Amino acid sequence: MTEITDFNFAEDDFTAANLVKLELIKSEKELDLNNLAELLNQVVAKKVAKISQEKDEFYDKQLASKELASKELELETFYNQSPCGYFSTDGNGIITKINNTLLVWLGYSKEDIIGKVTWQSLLSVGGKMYFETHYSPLLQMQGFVQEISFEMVKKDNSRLPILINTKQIRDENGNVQVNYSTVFEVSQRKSYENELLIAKRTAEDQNKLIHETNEKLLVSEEELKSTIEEIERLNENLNELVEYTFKNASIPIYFVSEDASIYDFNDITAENLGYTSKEFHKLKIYDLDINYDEKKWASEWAQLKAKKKITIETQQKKKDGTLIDVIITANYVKYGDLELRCSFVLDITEKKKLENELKLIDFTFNNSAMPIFLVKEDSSIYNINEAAAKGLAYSQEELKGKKIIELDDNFDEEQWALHWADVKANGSKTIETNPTKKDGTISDLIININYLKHGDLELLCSYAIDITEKKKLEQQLNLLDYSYKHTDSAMFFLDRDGLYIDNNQATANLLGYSYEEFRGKTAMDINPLLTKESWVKRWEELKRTPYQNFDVKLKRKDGTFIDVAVTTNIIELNDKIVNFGFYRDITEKKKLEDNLKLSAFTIDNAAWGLAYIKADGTIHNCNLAFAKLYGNTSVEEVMTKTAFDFGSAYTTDTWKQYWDELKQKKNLHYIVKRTKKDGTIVDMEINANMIQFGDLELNCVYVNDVTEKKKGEERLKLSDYIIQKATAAIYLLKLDGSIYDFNEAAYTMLGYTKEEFAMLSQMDLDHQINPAIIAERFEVLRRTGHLNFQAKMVKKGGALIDVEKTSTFIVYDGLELKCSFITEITEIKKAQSEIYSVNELLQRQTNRLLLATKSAKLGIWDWDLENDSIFWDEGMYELYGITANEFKTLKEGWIARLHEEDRAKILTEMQLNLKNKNEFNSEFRIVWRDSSIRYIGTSGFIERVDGKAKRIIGVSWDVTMEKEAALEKETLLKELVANNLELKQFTYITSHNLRAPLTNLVSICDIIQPETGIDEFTMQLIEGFKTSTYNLNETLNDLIEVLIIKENRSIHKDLLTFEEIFKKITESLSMSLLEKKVIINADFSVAHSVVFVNEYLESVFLNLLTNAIKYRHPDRDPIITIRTSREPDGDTKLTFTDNGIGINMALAKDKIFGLYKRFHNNSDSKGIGLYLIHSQITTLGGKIEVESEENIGTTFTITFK
Amino acid sequence: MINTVLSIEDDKVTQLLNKFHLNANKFCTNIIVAYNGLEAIDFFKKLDSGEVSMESFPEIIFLDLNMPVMDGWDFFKTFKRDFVQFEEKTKIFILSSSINPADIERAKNEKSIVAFLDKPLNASNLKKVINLLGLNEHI
Repeated sequence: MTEITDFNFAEDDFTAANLVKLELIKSEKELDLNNLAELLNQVVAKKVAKISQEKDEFYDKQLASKELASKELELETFYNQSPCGYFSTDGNGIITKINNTLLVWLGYSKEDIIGKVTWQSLLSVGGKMYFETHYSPLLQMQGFVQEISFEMVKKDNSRLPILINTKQIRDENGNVQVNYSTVFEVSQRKSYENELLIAKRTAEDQNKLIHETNEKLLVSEEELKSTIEEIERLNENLNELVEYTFKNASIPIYFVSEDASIYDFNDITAENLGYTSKEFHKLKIYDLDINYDEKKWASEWAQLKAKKKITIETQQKKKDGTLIDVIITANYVKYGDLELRCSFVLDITEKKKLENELKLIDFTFNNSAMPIFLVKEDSSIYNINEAAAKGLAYSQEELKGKKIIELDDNFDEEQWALHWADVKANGSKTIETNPTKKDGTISDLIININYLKHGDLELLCSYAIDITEKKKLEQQLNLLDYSYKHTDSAMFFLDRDGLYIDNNQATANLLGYSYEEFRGKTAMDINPLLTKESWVKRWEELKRTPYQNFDVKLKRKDGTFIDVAVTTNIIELNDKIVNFGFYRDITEKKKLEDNLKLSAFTIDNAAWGLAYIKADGTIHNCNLAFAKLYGNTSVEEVMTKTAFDFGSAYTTDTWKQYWDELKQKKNLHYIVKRTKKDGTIVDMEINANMIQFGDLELNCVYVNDVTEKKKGEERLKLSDYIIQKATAAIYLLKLDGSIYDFNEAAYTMLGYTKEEFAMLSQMDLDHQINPAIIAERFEVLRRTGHLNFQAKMVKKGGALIDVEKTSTFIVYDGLELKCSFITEITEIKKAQSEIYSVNELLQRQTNRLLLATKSAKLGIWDWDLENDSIFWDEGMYELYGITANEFKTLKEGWIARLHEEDRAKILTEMQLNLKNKNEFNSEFRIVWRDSSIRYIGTSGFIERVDGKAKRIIGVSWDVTMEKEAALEKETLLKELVANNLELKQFTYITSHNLRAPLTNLVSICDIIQPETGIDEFTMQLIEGFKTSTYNLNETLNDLIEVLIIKENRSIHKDLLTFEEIFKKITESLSMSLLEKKVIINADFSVAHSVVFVNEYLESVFLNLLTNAIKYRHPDRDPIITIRTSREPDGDTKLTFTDNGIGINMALAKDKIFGLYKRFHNNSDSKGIGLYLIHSQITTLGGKIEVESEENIGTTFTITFK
Repeated sequence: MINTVLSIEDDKVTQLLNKFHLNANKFCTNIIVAYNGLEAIDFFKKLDSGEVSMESFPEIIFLDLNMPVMDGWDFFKTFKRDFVQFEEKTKIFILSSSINPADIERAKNEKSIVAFLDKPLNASNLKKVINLLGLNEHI
């Protein structure tokens, strides 16, 4: 390091030139060198230190920059993820930087925004305006804005409400470098704000309401005040009234204080209780009412205070100690500080008494064993007691309100009314009646009825006594009495003295006396063997053994004796011991006994079976015939049997019934089936007689076997019945044709009576036969047995009927007969042919209908609404161009075919009609499969059941042709109208365009007055020009006139006088008339006026007159005759007749009134005048006619309507 | 004496004749001629702007209906719309050879139109105008 050369890096002061010098001063400068080295060392060290330091610093820096980078990242993250939006804009507002948060909020990507859009372009329309007017200027001025509210528009066009803070950074020249903005989302806040706003408004509204209410309240308060005043005033009046009422009230009223002392009372209170007012004042409630003590009073006071009003039933004590029943209505009143009980007292002593009485009555009424009814005037039961109800087996409740007329058959309404009036008039009545019990049985009642009036209520009070049982007894008694009196058994009562105290008719009869004669007779009188002593003896004996039977001979009135059996007994009757007995005549019995012995022989040998059967069914005796009838060989054999062996029908019970019946009737005659010994069943005629044989009751039976007879009879009966009742006519004819027998149907069928028919012969019934034929037929019938054929029969009147005859040959009782069954077939035939013809008619009609519908191209449809099923005939399918099965249902098909534009309309229309119409008519379009459109007309009836539509049936047809024709017509018409209009306009324009120059020409003609000095020819030319111009003008005006008339507008009719019009026109034509020496005979006397258009009538006169002058005859002066006349129908006629040249009618006939028809070579003629007046007249409904003859003249006849 | 008459008419001959009749009848001192509606409107515009003195304001307008450029009815419509201030000061007479009932009816119903005159503007028509305006004493 010490080498100088090494100093090339040394400081500049060590140059090469100095090196020598350095060598020289090397020695001396050794030290200096060292110092220098030292110095250099120091410099190097310094350098090294510096480098080292720099190196350190570099590392430090590197570290710092790393830190910085991480810090930057953090910042970046924070910037992008911050919960608020950041963006930066340049001086032009273009966004240069934007954080993610804001991008996310707005829904844009960075690429959409940065460098591309200004931030104000992201604002809403309102926001943009605010940006221009506020934000931007403010930023300009202040360099910052804070909390400006905007709405930003998101990418999806929704809004983002924000608050924005912006800071503007400018350079030294004041140019904007950058704007930093922070954005806060305030959606939430916005909604809070809205809520707040609403809340504020609500509060305001409420405030307003409160305010209004307050005002109202103020008003109300005033009203209240005046009301209170009013009430106070009323109150005063009321108080006065109350005071007066209180003092003068007819019921006791008193006030009690809480301490039970009497506070106030009215006079009557004291009076009623026997006190003076003075005394009463000192009393306490306890003195008035024994029921009160302090405790009760206190509790009642509390109760009163709570309830304000109570009712107490109690007893008040009078001064003299007596008690009266009262009801106190107590009211709690507060009078200032004073609390009082105001008591209204109602004396109910009388009421109580009444009540008690009533209770008693009620009790009696209800518990009375006697039925009692209270009945109102309409016979309804007002009240009824239990006994009465029970008597009728109803409950009391059931009967209340029921009507007597329903309960009692003896009463109907009329009778009840009579009954009511009767009882009302007489006060009371007693009747017997039979009301129906609930169970339907009828009871006998005796009813005592009283008329009662209870207030307004009128009642009949009825006490009923049930006499059903009594009646029964009475009836029994009556029966007994009757049997006693009328029985054939002689009965009698004898007293101890043997006197007949009573006896019946039979007793008297038995002994030959009349009932009266027998009176007073004694036993001794009729039994000569008896004496008074023997009678007493017998009496005593009878008393010991009460029941005795014996036979005795009694003496009759006529002295003869009869044998009687006596049955006698001692009984107690009405506290008296009497002898009751009866006699039986046994004279006949005795005789019989004798006779029997005789007859026994006869019976034994009789052909009739005879048997005596005992009550138990055993055979007492029988004859041989009886035994044989039942297949037995001996009487002994039968004797072992009983009645039960012969008649299987008998059981012990039925035998007893039979026996009793026989006993009652004595004789029975009947035919029964009996079983013989061998088991065969036979019909037995039985004649059973009940006989008394001594003490023995026997059934004496005569028996005869009628089996065969009965069989025959029954068969006959049946046949006869059948024949008589048969609806087929049956008659029997004899060989000679006379009628042997017939049934009802036979004569009724042929219109005869029974008697008439019996007299007829077969010839009367059939005119085509004679005895020969009858005989012949009989012969055939005899061979064949029967015949069956159709024939005609003659009825009574001669009318013929068709019959079916079945004849049978029979032999009856040796008589040959023809039995004919006849059935009328006329009706059947008729009916058959009718049915046939009806069928045919129907068939024909159906065919006709089918043909008609087919040719009319009608379709018939039938829609069952209930099942929503539709039927179409063939025609419908053709109309709609639908084949069967093309659609699932016809309805679907129908709807599918309907024209889209008509579908909804038609369906609604139908629904509407179904609701309330009875028919359905419509026209609509359908679209065929080939998309051709058809018009369908349809018409149907709606069938309803109970107002509900069940079915529509109708026809449809194709109206396409008509529709199309109509449419075409319509179009044509439209075209025509349009054309017409166009033509009219054309006319207007044409006429205008013609008129305008023509008018000028006319004007010029009017003005030109050629000066003299112009040459003759020019003069003539000018005159010619003028004439032509005027003519042209006239023609055009006429044409226009016609046009206007044809327009037929603004026609104003007036009552016009012919004379006036005539004068006016002749005046205007006076020059011409004078010149042509025209003579006019005008006479309007018959009809002097007409209702017409003034101008038109003038035109008529002018034209016809000028025509008459124009076409005057060259050889004579014109004479014009004008006349009017009145037609029978009221029309007016005007005739113009001239003597002019006339018209060749053969040539002109139909053209006279045509436009521009001229019939003369007259220069004046324009050919428009007649056309014009013709138009004028016909427009108003009139007519104009012409008659003319050449060289004679012309007559125009105008008829005004 | 009427000062100024405005004659709106496209036909030059008619204009000539109108002038003749007006002068012949000493109807007015001043005649302004417009050959269609638009010319007339321009004239009123000039009056309005002061370009033309109000001394030339027409008291009477004779208006033809069928005209090129702007016809009578269009003029009438425009005039009424644009010159309300003038409408009341002038009297309009339709002078036309139109027989179109629609024109006649319309003229009757417009209250600013005094009458519908049938061409030409001869003595009798002018007499009618005088009568209608109650200016009898001048003739």
